[in-house]
Amino acid sequence: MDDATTSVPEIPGSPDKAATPAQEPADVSTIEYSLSYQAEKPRLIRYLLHCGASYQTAEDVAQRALEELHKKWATVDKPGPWLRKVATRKLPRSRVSDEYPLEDHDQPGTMPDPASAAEILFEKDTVLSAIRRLPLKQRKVFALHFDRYEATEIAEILQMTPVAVRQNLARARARLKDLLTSEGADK
Amino acid sequence: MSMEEMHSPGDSGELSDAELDAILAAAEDRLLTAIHCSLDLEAGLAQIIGDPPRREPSPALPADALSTPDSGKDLEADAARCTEPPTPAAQLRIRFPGPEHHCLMASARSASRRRLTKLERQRVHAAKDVEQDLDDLARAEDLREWRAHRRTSGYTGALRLLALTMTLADAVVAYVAIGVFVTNHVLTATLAVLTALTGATIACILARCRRRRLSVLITARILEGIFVGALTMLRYEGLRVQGTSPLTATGAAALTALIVLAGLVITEEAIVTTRTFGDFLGALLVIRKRRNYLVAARRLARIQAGDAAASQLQGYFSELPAKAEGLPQGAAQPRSAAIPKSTQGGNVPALAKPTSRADRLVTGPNLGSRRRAKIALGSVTAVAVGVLAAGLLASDPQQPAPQAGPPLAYSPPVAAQLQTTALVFPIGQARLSNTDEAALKWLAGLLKSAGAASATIEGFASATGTIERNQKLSLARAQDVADFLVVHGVPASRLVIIGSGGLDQDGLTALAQAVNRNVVVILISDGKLGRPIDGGGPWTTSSGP
Repeated sequence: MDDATTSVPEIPGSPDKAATPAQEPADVSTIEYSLSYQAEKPRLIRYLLHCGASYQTAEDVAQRALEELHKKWATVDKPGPWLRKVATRKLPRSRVSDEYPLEDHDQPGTMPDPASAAEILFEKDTVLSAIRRLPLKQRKVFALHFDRYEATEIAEILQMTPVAVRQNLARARARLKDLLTSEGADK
Repeated sequence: MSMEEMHSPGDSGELSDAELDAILAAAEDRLLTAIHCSLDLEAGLAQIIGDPPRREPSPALPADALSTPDSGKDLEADAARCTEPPTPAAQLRIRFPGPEHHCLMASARSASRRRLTKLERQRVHAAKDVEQDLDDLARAEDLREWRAHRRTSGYTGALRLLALTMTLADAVVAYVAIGVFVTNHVLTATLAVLTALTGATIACILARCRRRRLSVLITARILEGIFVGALTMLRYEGLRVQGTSPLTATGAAALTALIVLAGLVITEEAIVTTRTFGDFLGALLVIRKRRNYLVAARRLARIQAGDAAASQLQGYFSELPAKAEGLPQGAAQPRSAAIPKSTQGGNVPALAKPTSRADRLVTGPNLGSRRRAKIALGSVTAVAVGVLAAGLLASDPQQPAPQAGPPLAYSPPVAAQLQTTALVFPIGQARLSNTDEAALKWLAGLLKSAGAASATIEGFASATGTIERNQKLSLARAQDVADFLVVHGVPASRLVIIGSGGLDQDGLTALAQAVNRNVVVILISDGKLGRPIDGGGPWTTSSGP
């Protein structure tokens, strides 16, 4: 076995595994969760930004959803949809403390911190701005569509029917085409 | 593509679906990258699990590796660089500790490890399932055989009739014995029936134990004895109360005991040796267990095949860095053992931008920056690069031993022998596009011209969808490519087809996920490929929606 795998738990059934069989499941679970955390958190934040949250709120909600996932890691089959469902549920409760002064970033000579850089990109990017002009439901559907979820999965996460998901997606596409075409023509 | 270019509509003034997809994907990608850069994932993870699986500080290389002839300076310099404090940029970007790891992309290594871990876990579970199913099947079949052996089908009806008769006889004996003490006939009859049913129940319990080849319950046997003894004593006392002589009473009691005991034994035998509803259920059970076992065995075989391929992959990864340096075997082994340890440290400086042929092959002309290509294709194609490079070097007996110690820097000759291509499929489809066919025709020509070259065709799917569906889809994609190659004259015996299912997409962008719906063709050559790599191979990326 490669030494490069020393950060990964030993494989069950391998000769080295016999020495520490009891630690195996915990290690695998932690590694799996860590990988899932690193993969899902940015995408979850992106989804929450599309849902209308500020960056701080999105990060906070994502972190809390991931904490909850850690507690229920053994029982959750599909972490991605589960996280989005939980985050969607948590988001309205977090909006009360939603404060983020964007004006400061526009002042010349000030360097935005990395977090606000993402926020500014979300605010200023033409395409993302066009997406933000869509109705909330369409934005949610779009965000999940870009996370490569099927219509049935999106329907399950957002408590809609698959038909409604496809309708929202089609309408959003049509609207975005109009918006982007008109903006392109303006330029 | 700049924003202006992306936003300018076509001549018709209307964005097409493909253009819209491209624009949106690019925007979403930008946003995700910005979020990625703004996050301190390790700190967030530490808040949750307390001790995130951080990489260990990179240890110094062992003395024997450092003392490799003529490469000592480079190795020492590399080791010293690995222990320098990291710059923030290095922490953000770097997963490789030294130039020799150019060709080992971090995401590829991580993906291969995760895959290996996952496969091993699945293998253990599948092996347990198979073992359990096999045990169940063996037990069920044994039971059925035993029943068939014990069954006396010619006397089934007679035995059943006899058992019924003997149960009635028990009831009559009990009625006579109880009737002396109880004047009410109905009560006497009820007690007699209950007594007969109790005896039949005891016989059933014993028969059940024998049918299931369990040890016969001693309690049941004792109960049987008590039952017979009680009725015998009851009959004896009844006769004594009526004034019968002790001898007559003893004889009558003995007859009672005989009848009751015969009733119990015959009932028990009748249940054991005749066909019952339980036999029918047992036959159904055997069928079900056999089916379960076959399914589990097939699954285990599939997993073992994947597991073997993944282990081979991991082995290649461990040896590749040392082989890439062209070290002799004796020096390569300690070096390959030492290098991965140093990869555990994330605190290493940034590498110079690689310009090798391997990187150009991996990234392709249309995939944008190196960073994007590393994330997107690393999980698949760098694995291919690793396997191929190791395979090429390991299988080339003509490879000269290095005269002077090779430099530590990444060895271009490895990449110079690579021939790899990736074919990307739309979501849920396993059909080759026209552009893919052009690439495959080129590959077919290459394989035909190379005497002993073989190809491993590994199909992948994105992680969306069920595991079973992804497995089937990935295999169908690989099979489709293999069929095409066979039709174009490549012997089927030189093709190995692997369906690897859905790839884990941790940390991958949407683009990377799209690229994961692919088939990777890895050529393993004996160094006699008919065409030099500089001739260039097609690189097709017909990404789906």
